[in-house]
Amino acid sequence: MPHRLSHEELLEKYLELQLRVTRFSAIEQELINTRDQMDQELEIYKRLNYFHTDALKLRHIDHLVDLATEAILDIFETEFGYCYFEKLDEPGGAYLSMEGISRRNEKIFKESLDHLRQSIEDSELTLMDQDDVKEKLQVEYFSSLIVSKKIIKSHNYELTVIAGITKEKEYIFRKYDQKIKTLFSIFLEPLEAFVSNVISSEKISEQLHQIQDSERELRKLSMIATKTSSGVIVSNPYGEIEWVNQAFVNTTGYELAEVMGRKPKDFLQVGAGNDSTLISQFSQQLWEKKGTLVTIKNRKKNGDIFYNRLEITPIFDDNGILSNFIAIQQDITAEQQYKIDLVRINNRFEIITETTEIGIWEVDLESNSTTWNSVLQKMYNIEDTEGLDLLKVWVDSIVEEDKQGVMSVFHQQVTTGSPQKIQLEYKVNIKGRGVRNFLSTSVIEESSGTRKLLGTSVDQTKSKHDAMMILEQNKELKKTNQELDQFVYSISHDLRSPLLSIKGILNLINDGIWTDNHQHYLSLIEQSVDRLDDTILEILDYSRNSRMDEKKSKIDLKKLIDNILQDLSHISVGINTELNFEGSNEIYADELRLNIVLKNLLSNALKYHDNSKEWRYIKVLVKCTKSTCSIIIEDNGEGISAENMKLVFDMFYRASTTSAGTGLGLYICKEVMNKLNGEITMDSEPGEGTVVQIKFPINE
Amino acid sequence: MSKKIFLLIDDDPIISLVHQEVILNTYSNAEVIRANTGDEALKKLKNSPSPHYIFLDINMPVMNGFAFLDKLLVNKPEFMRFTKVILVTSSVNPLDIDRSKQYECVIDFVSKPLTRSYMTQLLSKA
Repeated sequence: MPHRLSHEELLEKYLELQLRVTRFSAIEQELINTRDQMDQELEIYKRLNYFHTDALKLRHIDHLVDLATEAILDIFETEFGYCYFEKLDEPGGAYLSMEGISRRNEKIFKESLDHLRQSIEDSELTLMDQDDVKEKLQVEYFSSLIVSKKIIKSHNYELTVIAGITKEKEYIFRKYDQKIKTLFSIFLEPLEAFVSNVISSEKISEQLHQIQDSERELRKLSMIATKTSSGVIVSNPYGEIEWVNQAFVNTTGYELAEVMGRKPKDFLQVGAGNDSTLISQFSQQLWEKKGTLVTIKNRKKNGDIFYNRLEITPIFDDNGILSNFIAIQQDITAEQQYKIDLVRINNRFEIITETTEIGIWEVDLESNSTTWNSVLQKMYNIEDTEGLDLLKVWVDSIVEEDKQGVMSVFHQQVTTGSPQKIQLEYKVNIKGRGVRNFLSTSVIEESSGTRKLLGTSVDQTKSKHDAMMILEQNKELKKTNQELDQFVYSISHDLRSPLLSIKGILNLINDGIWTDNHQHYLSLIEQSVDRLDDTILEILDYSRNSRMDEKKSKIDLKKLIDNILQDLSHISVGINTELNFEGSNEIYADELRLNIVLKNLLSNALKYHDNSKEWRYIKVLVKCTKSTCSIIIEDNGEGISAENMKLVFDMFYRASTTSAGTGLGLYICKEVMNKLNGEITMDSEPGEGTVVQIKFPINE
Repeated sequence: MSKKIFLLIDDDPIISLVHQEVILNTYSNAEVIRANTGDEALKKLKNSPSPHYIFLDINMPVMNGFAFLDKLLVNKPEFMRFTKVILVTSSVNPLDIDRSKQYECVIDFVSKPLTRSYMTQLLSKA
């Protein structure tokens, strides 16, 4: 029998049922929620998957960072994303990407987020709510943030990812919960892997480039090494040759095959005669694996020595281990020879300029800076040229009358740039040396873009003077030569004349023309012989005077003159002689020379007497003081015309026609007086008489 | 044999005497005039016909042979038309020979002393 439920029972059952329904719908709702959540997660995974697929294709960090930033917004449906990447070993290797931030907030958000990034350590993923942010950043516009900063040591970079929601938009977005942390880490882990990958591949491609570059470089280098005129040697770290180029073969005469595996020093340096210190220094450098530049002597295969300038560079591999030596060698024998020649020429040039006293100067035409050699400095009496404007010194030294002319010539040479040599004579006034004659030669020299005026200056004051002297002496010499010729003819004439007279007489006798009166012939011959003798004696006197040195002795002048008059007594018949002294008659003098002079003068006074006068005389007056002696001989003989008086002291001049003189007497007197540092003077009136005076110094 | 006048000028009277003897002995119809200096010779020429021959010493005091010739040519050029001058010297100086060539009247240059053979030769040419 069916049980009929009571109302209470029914109500109870209904409430129970209602509770069940409520519970069920809650479960259902829960199920729906869970399913939605699952759908959402699946969606996220899907999106993550898309991101991974896309990210894998990227080769550049900045592209990857951009994609990651977009992905944050897409995948997690947050408001904005901030993604910062920095290569820690590479300055400037940072990249920042931001998405979802309005332009208006961009600057201020970036500052805050940068600040946040810098203030946190390498950390686990962190969720920050409004209060956390406010505490950390002192800003209020963020509602919540999720932050990750990672330093990846293996690839040495920092990657910071921040996702966030602003207060302004928090009503739209779902608040972050713990679940998003899990999802975010699922996102971040592969991102890091991707970034690391891209970095690695970037490095690889860079290295590939480098390799390609170095390959190209190497090709270039080997081409250069092969083609260059410098010898190239590549050796292993022990110095044993691995390769040489053609230039090495050309220079040394050794083929590659011959030198392979040998050390250069074992065949190039043997017997080359290098300084041992130089070689040991050089070896030391190589031993220490240092680069070195050295010039040594080397021996070619044929034995010839050449100067080798070697530049040796050690080559190290990436691990710093010596792998090779590369030596570049150059045969600089010619250069060395030039250098030696140049030094030698320069030295010789210096000696020449010094000994020949050639001043050398150089003016740089751009700067007017001037240099002088030491000779020119000496010519200008300048010890130190430091700080001196030598161009000005030179210009100032030119005498006023020459200055303008000299300057305009040099100016023209410089402005026209004529390559012709220019020579100029001018006067300079040098302090302490006076006015000098200079001869300057100048020429423009253009080399390596600079123009210079080079020149020499020679002080020819002395040489000019010397030349004048030589001319003068030449003239004198010519005159002397002519005189000598004249002398020879005159002497031979005077010697031969009496001889030829005698010969003429002898001819007459021989021919039988003269037969009687022998007495007469003999007297004619005797006269001629006397004349000849006189001439010879005079020549002797002349030669004595010119050849013999002055020889002083004590002389009694009274005795000397008396003796001469005694000797001349044969021509003094009928002539009154008078001898007077003022002061001492004893002097200290050259007796032989005084004798010559007095004999000549007295004999002249007697010889050229005036027969027409009844009273004929000669008066001799001797006046001696302590320092001079003068002897005056006066006669009233025939006298000499003024015209002849000018000539009587000339050699062989005969003024008288009445007696046969040689024309030497007075000439000899003059010469003797010259020798005695004295003088001879004559005063005469034709028909009245003559006064001759000699005067000479005596000391003691 | 025509008469010939000879003028001898020499400062050495002895050689002058010798020359006179030689001339007279070579040419009998000769008139010999002697002078010791150029001046004396010029004086003597004033009052006499021009000589055929002048024997002139070069080396003389005051007026030498050339100075005498110059004076004579200036003073009496007509004298020199027929007169022949022989320069006589004791030693031959090349300079004197050169100089003598300037004078047309100078026909010879001889060394002292004059000899008969020279005179004979000279007169035979005339």
